Formats: sequence, structure tokens, C-alpha cells
Amino acid sequence: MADLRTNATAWDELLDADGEARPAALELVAKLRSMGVSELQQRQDLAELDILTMGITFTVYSDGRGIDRAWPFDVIPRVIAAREWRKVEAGLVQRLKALNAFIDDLYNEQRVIRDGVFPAELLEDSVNYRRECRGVKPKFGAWAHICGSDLVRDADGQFYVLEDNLRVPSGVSYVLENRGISKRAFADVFATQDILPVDAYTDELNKLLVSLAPDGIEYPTVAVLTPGVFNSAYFEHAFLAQRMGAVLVEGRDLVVQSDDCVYMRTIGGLERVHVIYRRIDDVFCDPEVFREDSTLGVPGLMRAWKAGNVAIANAPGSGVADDKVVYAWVPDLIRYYLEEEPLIPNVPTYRCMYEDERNYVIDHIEELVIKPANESGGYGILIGNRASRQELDAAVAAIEADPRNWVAQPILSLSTAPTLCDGVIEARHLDLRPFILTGGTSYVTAGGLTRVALTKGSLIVNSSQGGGSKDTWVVETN
Amino acid sequence: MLLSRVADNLYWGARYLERAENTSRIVRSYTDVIVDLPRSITSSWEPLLAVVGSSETFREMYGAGDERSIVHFLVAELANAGSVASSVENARECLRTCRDVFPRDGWLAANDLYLYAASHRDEGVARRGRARFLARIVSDSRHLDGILTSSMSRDEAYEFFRIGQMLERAEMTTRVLGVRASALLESASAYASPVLATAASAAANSSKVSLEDHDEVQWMGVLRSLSALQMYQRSTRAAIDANGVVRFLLHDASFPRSATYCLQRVQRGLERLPRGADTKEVIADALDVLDSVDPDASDGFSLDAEMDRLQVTLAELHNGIANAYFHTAAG
Repeated sequence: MADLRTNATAWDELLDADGEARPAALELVAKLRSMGVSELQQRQDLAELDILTMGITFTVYSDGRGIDRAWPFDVIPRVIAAREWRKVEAGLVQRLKALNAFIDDLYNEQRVIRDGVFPAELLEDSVNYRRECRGVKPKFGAWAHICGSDLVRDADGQFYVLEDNLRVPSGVSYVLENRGISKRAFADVFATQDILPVDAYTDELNKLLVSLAPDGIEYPTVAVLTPGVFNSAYFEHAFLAQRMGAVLVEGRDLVVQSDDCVYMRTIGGLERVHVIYRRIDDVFCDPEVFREDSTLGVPGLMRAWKAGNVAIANAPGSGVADDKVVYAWVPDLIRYYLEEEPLIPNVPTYRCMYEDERNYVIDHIEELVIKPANESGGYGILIGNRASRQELDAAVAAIEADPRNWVAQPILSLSTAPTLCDGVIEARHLDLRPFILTGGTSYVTAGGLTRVALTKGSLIVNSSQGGGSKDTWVVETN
Repeated sequence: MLLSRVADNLYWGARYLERAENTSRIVRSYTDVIVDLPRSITSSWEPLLAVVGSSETFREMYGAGDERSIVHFLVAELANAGSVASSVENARECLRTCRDVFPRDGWLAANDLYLYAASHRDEGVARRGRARFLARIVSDSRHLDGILTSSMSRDEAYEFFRIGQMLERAEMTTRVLGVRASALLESASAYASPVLATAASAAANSSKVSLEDHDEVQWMGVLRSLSALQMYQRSTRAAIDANGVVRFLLHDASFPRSATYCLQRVQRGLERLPRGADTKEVIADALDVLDSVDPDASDGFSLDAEMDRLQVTLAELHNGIANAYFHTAAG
């Protein structure tokens, strides 16, 4: 008989405060309680074996060398009620519509600045604003076609958006692979209830990419552009290309000719490419325009894109809205562009560029999470109540030196779920990254990637820093 | 259309896999031959190094060789790029970059083979675990081959895989024959020379039992190491003799490990690729050279020279293919 314990101070995804199963998790919890830890451990071991033999890996860097590691997976799923999920889904679609309208506006009319909603100086300072993209009008006004937004649930049970990853969000392949594994591990539970499938994602992504092709191309060639086998997400790049029947290319496979069209080098000679799903950062895309030292990119790619001869997803320059400072404005942007109230709240965010908010941050630094505006992967984050005096002083100095680059948020008590750790079931903190597709229409994954901090008490869920993952079940309840 | 880089990786992935399988077959059958020889014959393992063309690398790394160190070098040594373990690892690395064109089950099989070889390679060294380890490598490689045969579209990706595989296989056949030729040479001069390196010559010199008596065993070993014994016997219905073996392994058009079979398959593969005209000549030349080898000249001298000539031809064929497809110019 498995003992499922919760962390008293946080919201638990499977159990309520009395330790009873939440309605959507009734069947799963009953199953877990009936099977005992040793059987659960067996299912965990089988799942890990699957991961190893299927070659589901991610790469970590250590001593300058990439090491291919098995994807860390916890066999106990995280459950969300479908009724609740539909609200989250609507909120994410709304959010991405507003963000895309915002990006399109920044590179064109800049109404949002003229109307005084977004400060001009923020745009001038932005390291992710690409002047080279000014005046470009991508199809559907869509720039950030693929977004992974990180959601957390606070002690009150409310979902908050923590950040929007608009550059090259990764993790979606693991959503699909995790489902394959958990279907085998919990075949019995899948048989008795409706768990929304996640498989449609690659089809939806393919449809989106095809829809972006230059006009008049009946059967566009879609390529996934990867930095190569040493990238931490290479597994995912290959996975997506394979599932979509797209070509997996590296920069050196592509060439832009004098006709401003993109071609790939094939055994039959050069062949035109119409749509590129880039998985490299935009500054590496084109050494003619951005970083000259980039060997990952394709000289002339920006030329081809601006001429409308190739579509790029996400569009270069989309990263301007993926910024922890811009984040603070998203509720206003939703109101401004859509004239709607945000359906999912932001985490309250203090912007150090404003003196009053900065002073608040410095005075309350022990109660806040301090984040650099432009780092990803959980790097550079300081959690006030866990930092030493020295670390706090260093953070204050960094904020005073470059206020624009820092934001702060209250420390949320991330929700937990029972997790199998070294043969014992314990509560561990987690977040959720759904993936949102935006083009002529919108699509959101059913659930998303649940990332779990495997270290007791830790709030850092990134796989590069000791995080694991769980399958996410969106369950229909009556 | 297939990317040039991916074609390159498929071709090499297939070569590395075939190399791992062939080296496994050869070490396995050599072990069998040694076991069959009378104990009065001092056996040497050096010819194994010559077959995979790595005698020099071995001496730099290990110095003198005995059974254990030579088999370790050939099977388990990761610092030896030609070992079974390294070949499997290289094959996996190549195929990892081809996952969008390679059947998923095929990739799983390659990955599985890699995981097995990486964790069990040391068990393949001692005689006790050797047969089991090598048999697993061979059967996993066959398993992968079967998956491709039954589930991969006959597209360009498939042809590049087969071309790499067949070229590697043809090369291994010429190497095995070449080493047999050197053994014959040394055996012929063994009575004069005290410096001996191979099983054949060592035996001839140091024991009253001449290895000449075991000539048939040696040619049988050649057939076995290419998994050709049974098919040879069915095809010739005669005792094993040198000319017959050489003719079979070079010129039999229906045995899938003969050099002729392999090169004809390469030719068919190349014909199915775009711009086949670019390689038409180089494959025709290779087949001409192969045809010109006289199977009755199976004395050591001419066999040795002929195999050298064939290997040079195969290297030219490789260059021809690489130039046509792997280094596509910017245009």
C-alpha cells in the first residue's frame, strides 16, 4: 500500500489538504494506493528501460564536452481536470494573440508606443529587438508561431503564467514520449477513463508550418534547422522532423543563391526550401546580418526571408517579447490589443527600472525571486529566502548597476505532486509548460510538459539543473 | 531529395555496422580454427590484426601480442577506431543524424546494439564469453538488416545504406583473402626463415606436424570467417581447395558475400541514384578489375598482389561516390 504524502504548505496536484484524491485524480490515486511502492518501483524501472532503449535523451555540457543523458522521468503522472484545462487553454490562446500583435506592431507602426501603453525607452534598450526586422509583415501577422509558456500553481490553487518562451522553446517531444511511456506503465488506468491524447501536436505543427509557405507553392518543402548533434535538444529536432516528414538540416546544408531563395544541398543538387522551423537563436541565423562568427547559420537567410521567399518560424526578432521585463506588460497588452481582460493572471512583477519598484525590491529582497531579464534555462536566478547575505548583496549591486536587466517576483510556493524518489513517494515541486501554436488559427497541447524538481524542497525544475519530468494527464470528469 | 550530409552519414553508418559484424565473424571463426588445430602447433593471433589492417596501431598501443591482448584490441578497445565496440559506437553516431530518414525501429535496433556493446564489450575478450558476445553482435546486426529490408522504402536513403554495406563487405572479403595469401607466402619460406609471424608458419617451423597437412582446415577457416562454408559446399559439391575457394569468394555472382555480388549490388544501387552517370565509369572499372583476377592463381604471390590491386580499386570507388554525392558544391 503506497503512502502518498503531501507537502503541507503547497497545493498538491493529486491530493487535497486532507490527503484525499482530487476528483480528476480519483482513479489514479486509487490505483497508486492499491499497488504499493514496490510495484510502482517496477513500473518506474520499466519506464526507465524504455527511455534508454528508445534513445530518449538530452545533452548536458560538462568539461566542454556534450554528454547524452537518458531523459529523467517520474512514473507518477500529474493530473489536471479537463474543465479547468479549457480555461487555461483559452487564456494561452488569448495571450499569444496579444503577444503576436505586439511584436508585429513593434516592427511596424509602433502604435503601442505612440499610445503610451509601452515605454519607448524599453524598446530602445531591448537586446532582443532586431532593427533588421523592421517593416517585415509575416503571414497572419504571426511572429511567435511556437511558444512554450511556463505555468505555476500557487498555494491558492491558481495557475499563473511565469514566463513565455518565444525564441526556441523546447520540450514538446518529451510531452509525446512521456505519454508513450506512461501508456505502457499505466495501461490499466488508461483503460477506464478519458485522458486527452497529445499526439496531434506534430500534425498541427506541420499544418502550421505548411500554411506559412510563400504563396503559390502547392507542396512546400519544410526544414527543421538544428545547430547539430551536440545541441542539448537535438533529440527533439530529429523527433519533430521525423514525425512531420520534414527535412532535418544544419546551417551548412543550406545556401542562399543570388535569386534570394534558400536551397539545400542534396545528392541531386540544390533544392528549394520554403519553410524553415529554426531551432537556433536568431542572432546565429545569418552571419551576413547578425553574428559574423556564427557557423550555425546561413549567409543570406535574412535577405531571403525579407524578400518573402522563405518563411521562418519563429520569425527572427520574436524574442523581443520574450523578456522578463516585457512580461510585466502582458496584461496591459492583452487589454490594449484585444480589449479583453486576461484569462490567466501574471505573477506580480517588480520592474527594477522604476525607482519605486526598485526600492521595494532592494528592501524586500529576502522575500523575492530575482531574475535577469534575458537568461533562459533557470540561470542567474536568485531565490531571496535561500540566498546567503553575500549573494543578496551581490544581487543588490547587480540591480543598481543595470536596473533594466532585473525584475523580481514574490516567491510562489510551487505546487507539488507525489513523486517516486529513491524508493519512497514524496511531494516534489513542479511547473507546467504547454505549447501554443499561432498562425491563421491557434492550437494548445492538451496539458504540456510537467517538469519536476527532483531534489527535496527545490524549486528549480530545469532538466539542465537536475529536474525531471512527468506525464501530464488532462482528464475528463463528469 | 536526400541531403548530401545525410547520405554521407547513412553510407558510413552502414559501413561501420558491417565492419563490426565482419570483425565479429572473423574473430569468432579464427577462434574456432585455433581450437581445431593440434595443440602441438603453436598458434599465433597476429593474422587477425592483418585482416582488419591495424597491426601497426596495435604495436604502438600494446607492443607484443598474445591472444588476450589482440582480441581485446579487436573487440573491446575504444582507442582502436576499428574495434567492434568503436565501430558500433561510430555507426550509432552516424545514424543518430539520419533519424528523419531512417525507420524508427531501425534506429532503436542500432541504439540497442550500441547499449549492449558498450556495457558488455569486456565480456567478449575471454574465450568463455567471446562466442556469446560476438554472436550477439552478428545477430543484432542481422536483425537491423532485416528491419530495413522489411520496413524501409527503396528510396535514396536505402540505396546509400546498401552501397556502404556492400562496399565494406567486398573490402573485407579481399582482406581475408589477402591475409591468407601472406600466410601462404610465409609458409612457403618458413623452412628458410626463423622469423615467423603467422599460425601457418609458426606451425611449420616449430612442430613436426606440418601445417601443409592442415591446408584444408585453413581454407575452411577462410570460408567460415565469411560465413561461406555451407554455401561453398552446396555450390561446388567438392572438397575444399584453394582455387575453388578463391573463385567462389571473388566470382560467385549469387553468394551475397562474394566480391562480385557486392560490387554488382553497388552498381545497381548507383544506377538508382540521381546523376548516376557521374559514377557509371568508376563502378564499371571496379567490376572490370575484379573480373580480371585469375582465380587459379591462388599461390601466395599472385593472390597477395591481386588483393592489393582490388583494395586500391575499392578505395577509388569510394572516392568516386564521395565526390559525386557527399561534397555537393555550393552551386
